[in-house]
Amino acid sequence: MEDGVPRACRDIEPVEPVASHWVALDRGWQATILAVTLVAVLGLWVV
Amino acid sequence: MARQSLRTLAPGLALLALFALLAHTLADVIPGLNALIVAVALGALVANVVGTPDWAAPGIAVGALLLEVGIVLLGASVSLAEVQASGPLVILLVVLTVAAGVVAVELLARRVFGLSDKMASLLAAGSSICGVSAAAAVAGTIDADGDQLTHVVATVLLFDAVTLLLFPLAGDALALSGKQFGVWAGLSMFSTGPVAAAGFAHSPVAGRWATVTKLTRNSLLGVVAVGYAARYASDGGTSNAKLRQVWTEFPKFLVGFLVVAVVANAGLLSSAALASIDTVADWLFTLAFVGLGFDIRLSEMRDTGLTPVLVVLVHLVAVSALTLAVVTTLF
Repeated sequence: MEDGVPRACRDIEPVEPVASHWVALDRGWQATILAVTLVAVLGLWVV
Repeated sequence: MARQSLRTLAPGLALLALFALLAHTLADVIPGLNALIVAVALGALVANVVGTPDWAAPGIAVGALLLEVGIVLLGASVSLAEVQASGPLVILLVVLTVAAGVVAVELLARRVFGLSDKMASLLAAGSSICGVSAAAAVAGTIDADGDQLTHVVATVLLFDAVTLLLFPLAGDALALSGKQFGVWAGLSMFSTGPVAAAGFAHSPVAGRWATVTKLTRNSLLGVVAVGYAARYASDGGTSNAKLRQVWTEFPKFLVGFLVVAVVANAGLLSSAALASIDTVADWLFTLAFVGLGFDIRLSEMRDTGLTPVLVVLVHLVAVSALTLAVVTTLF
């Protein structure tokens, strides 16, 4: 509920909390997470 | 919010991608041209001739993140055995260069050029460790004025642009090997991005050594900033707040670089996967270096005070000459 107006379920985006955590994260940690994810994906898929 | 952010970033990212493609195409067509240097030049050209378009600015700013992702991925191509072999020597050179650089700039700035204590400390940190990040971290620990920090940041950015152009030319003229050039650039130049760009402009080997040497230098930020915090402790501010400032500015991607280096050196990745990671890192660097070019503003450089520029120039010439002599003798 925002300003007395209830939000419909379809308006609630589950990605919002994740996105706000991501934006608040230090750039060095963001780079580390992205790079390690890339390494994991390429390491598993490219044999 | 997430969708809105992506919509805001997309135009600038598309511009980075377009210029990165153009840089690679030009480098493929014109012999002797380096894609990374062309990428920086294209960004700088647009930023200084027509300015950075407002619609592209948020996406272009992501270039800094892409650079750090590229550096972390570079950990996969670093041989820890090779680093271990040359490591103690490189670490010794880094510690000596940073210690001598901090002391020399402090003395030069205060005694010869008559700059204030805090201005001298910001210049010493910025030119001896890791450019803008170091200057910002030390500014927080010594409670420097925003104006002083602005002057130091402008001075560092000026030298980033000049050294990015001159170091690869000097490396070619002096016929330095990849390792010699990489360690030399890593010891002498200021900010991490331009060091990596200059290294890869010379050769892939130079790029890896430049990055490893520079990251070793960056890791001294904590030590130097805490030293400055202790030195200026009587000037006010709680030590906890100052330590938090040091941690805020500390380059955390160093952790990721080490993690990826350990994973790759443990033999957990196939050679095909390593080649793919290398290709992704190459493209991330090209995208990031277009963004780096957009940060080069000639008009802002003209506004930089002459005295800080002279201090840093004397330091850069002395450090470059000394480390060049040492590097060509030892490697």
